[in-house]
Amino acid sequence: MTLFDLLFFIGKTVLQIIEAKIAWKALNVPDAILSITSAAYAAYEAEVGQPLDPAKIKPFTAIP
Amino acid sequence: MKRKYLAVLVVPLLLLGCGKNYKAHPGAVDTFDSKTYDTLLIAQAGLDEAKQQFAIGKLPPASKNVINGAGNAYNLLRDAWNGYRAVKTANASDPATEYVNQINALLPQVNQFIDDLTQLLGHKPKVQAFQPAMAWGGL
Repeated sequence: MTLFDLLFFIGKTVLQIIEAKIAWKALNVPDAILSITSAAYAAYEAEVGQPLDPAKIKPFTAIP
Repeated sequence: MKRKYLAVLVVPLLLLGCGKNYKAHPGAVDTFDSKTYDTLLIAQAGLDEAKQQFAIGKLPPASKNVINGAGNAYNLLRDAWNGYRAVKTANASDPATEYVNQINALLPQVNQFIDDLTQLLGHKPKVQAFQPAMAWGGL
């Protein structure tokens, strides 16, 4: 790898990071919502292929 | 943060993908049973997390009604699903139409949850979570 390759790689990586940050801000998703969707996805992912267990579906208790 | 970003994008895509290559959970009475179970699992985790976020003040006071409303729909969905399972377990050929209709009517109410919370936070709803019913063609 030449010095030029190295500099090109660093420059490209920096641009990708900036691009990702701009895209992230454009989404404008609140952290609380992200947290909820992440938890929901994690729950789904954890159960893929697992046996159906009705006991895992617990009743919702309302916020007083 | 990157993981969360990924999750937001992946949840709807994954659920959309469920329509074609969906594998039912072992022990499910049928695919409808399995998909409703998935929806309940997802909704339950989302509601639990929302309650936590509310408890630590990350969500505005008005979100209590949204969370409780979604929780109420979730409870009704859970009851209908248990009814469906009971009918199907007793007689697999019974279409259990009453429960199927109840479940299909309740799913959009649970699905609306994230959009309502997002709007309460003053953001345009760009996240489409909890869309399994629609993604699965209305179950």
